[in-house]
Amino acid sequence: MTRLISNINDNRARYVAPVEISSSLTVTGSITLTDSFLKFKPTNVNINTNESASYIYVSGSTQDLYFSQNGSGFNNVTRLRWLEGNLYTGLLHGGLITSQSSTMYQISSGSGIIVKLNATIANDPYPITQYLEWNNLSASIASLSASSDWSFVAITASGATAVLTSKGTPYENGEYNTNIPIGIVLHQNRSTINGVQTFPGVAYGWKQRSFDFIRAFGPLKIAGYNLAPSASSTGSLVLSGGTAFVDGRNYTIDPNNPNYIVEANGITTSKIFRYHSTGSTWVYNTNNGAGFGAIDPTRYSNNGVLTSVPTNDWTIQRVFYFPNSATKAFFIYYGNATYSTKENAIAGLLTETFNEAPNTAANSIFIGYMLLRYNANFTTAASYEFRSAGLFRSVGQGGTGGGGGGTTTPGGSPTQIQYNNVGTFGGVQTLVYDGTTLHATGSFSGSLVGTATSASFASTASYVNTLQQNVQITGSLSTQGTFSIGRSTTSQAVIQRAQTPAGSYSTIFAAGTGIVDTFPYTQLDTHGATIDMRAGDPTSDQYGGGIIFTANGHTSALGEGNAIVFKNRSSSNTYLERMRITYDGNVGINISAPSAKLHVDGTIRIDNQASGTPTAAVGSAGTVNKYWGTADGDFLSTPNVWLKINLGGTDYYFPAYT
Amino acid sequence: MIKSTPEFEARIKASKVPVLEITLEQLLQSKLATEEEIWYLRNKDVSTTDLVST
Repeated sequence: MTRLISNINDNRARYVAPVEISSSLTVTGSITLTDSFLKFKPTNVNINTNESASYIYVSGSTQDLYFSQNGSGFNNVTRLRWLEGNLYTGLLHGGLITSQSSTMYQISSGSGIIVKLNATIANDPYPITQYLEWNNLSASIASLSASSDWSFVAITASGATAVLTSKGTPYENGEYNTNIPIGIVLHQNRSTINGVQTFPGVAYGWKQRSFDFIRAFGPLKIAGYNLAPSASSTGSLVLSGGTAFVDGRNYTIDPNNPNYIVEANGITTSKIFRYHSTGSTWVYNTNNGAGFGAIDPTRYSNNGVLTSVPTNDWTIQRVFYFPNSATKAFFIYYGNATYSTKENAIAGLLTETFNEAPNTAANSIFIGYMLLRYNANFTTAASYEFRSAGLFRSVGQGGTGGGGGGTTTPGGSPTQIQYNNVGTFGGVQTLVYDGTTLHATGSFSGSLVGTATSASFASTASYVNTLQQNVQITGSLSTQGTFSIGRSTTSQAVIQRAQTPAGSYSTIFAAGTGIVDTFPYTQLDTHGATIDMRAGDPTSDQYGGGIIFTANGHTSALGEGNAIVFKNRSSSNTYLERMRITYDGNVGINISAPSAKLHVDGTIRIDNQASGTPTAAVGSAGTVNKYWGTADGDFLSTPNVWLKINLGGTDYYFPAYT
Repeated sequence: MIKSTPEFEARIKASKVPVLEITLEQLLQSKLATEEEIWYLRNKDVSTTDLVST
């Protein structure tokens, strides 16, 4: 029986035994529980949701605690289990690792929770949160020191008790849910402790922790926001619309999506703020807030000082934009270096030092790079190039700010090598293999090999080049190393040339046969070019002997045109012409312009070694009066006496020698 | 054997090499030519012998 006792001293009523109320109890004023609690038993009573009131109850069907808020226009029921599903395993306090001796370490007293989510496909999760509290816990490295360089230590539950656990590899995947990782104990000599480090996963402040993570990347460009020249001037820019992630910048437009920004238009009127760092501070040249209508390719930041870009040089300028911008302006950083060519500037994208100002680092997205020649304007394609940024900011060598690094995604930046069997990639396709043909744009250097005989030819000293008629070069081909043709045991070197019809070829050289081309006239037809068969180094005039068939044109009057020239080196190391056959058949010896069928500049010597006479040199330049000859080709030296004899009325002479 | 021409006579004169006129018989007797060579000279169609080198 319940008794109600009235205390006459404070005029309050107190129940001193259990009270059961079978109907509603309405209390006006506060309820205070002293050394007690509220207990809710499951109920199947329906709540009057039309009444503006809030309720706490345990469902008779699920046995779970619910919160119900009702009022005009809404009613909302929240199950405690759903809220528990957002708790996570981690440390609540304490838990510092210290070294106690050469082999013993300690985790200081603390507390934490372990949340088992118990999620299934069939039912709502019913998380079980276990609170653990512990005093100082000590352990030895003995179980791991012999087999591992470190012990990853954690707190876990053994029944209702917190215990220390460790393993030789980092906690991963689901282990984070059932253990509270505390840190690491190093024992890299495999016997004693040489260091400890505490880096727990904490159970609180998820939003703050995740925001730290987000800010490490900076605002993100998700899609769109493409940079393009505008028609208003040769240096003006516009920006297309796009989507971006910037924490809070969409709040005023849609508080339900405060971070996700969708803009139909970026910048439609060219307006540029010019940024650069002096090294100690930032210069924000906004043109008094009005901005500039055009880019400035003529200057760069030379160690903080704006300096003219040398003639023909290039710079890299970075473009940023604040989504849902108040100013609708580009924020463009001057480059910090100059490059002699655009290719060098492209290489500089990954190496140029870049420091980003705090305001763009915190709130703007990176649009991309502009590669600008010193006199760039957007009507001259060769004077500039845009490189669109990807999700993240670029890699900056040695710079600060601007969030973390990362490479741009396909379609955003130049792609140097692609394998493309389906679909297409964006960017500049420098080298593309489409499954059949290797397409190269620009120059190519290095090795080009076919299928390796092993899975990785890099791991074996030998491999077979199986490229066969699969590489076509429409430009020039040069090599600094050996150029081999038909280098296999089953084929020989063959050089072919294209002929009509297209796709057909005829052999002009084959190993073992030599020059075999029969088109159009001879087997060696240079079509008017000089044939030079000199031995030695032509670049330093260090030839040996040789023959030159010159052909300066069929119409040449004399000398060089159609001549055959014989040269060799003299004793004074000079390369000299010795004999020439001219276009009209004159043979010159020691003279380059012979005027007779045989023109010798110098002496002629005729010997008859069998008889021993005459042996002296005869004749001299320009005269033949010491020559005597007969019809049968004997040439005589001057006799001592001419014998004159008359035969049939005609005189004849015989040379007589004493 | 060289057939005489005015140009050849002039060159012999300019060379100052002495000229000794002999008959075919004296040539035979002088032993300057063999019998075979003399026979060749007697039967040669000398009209075809020319000075070919000047």
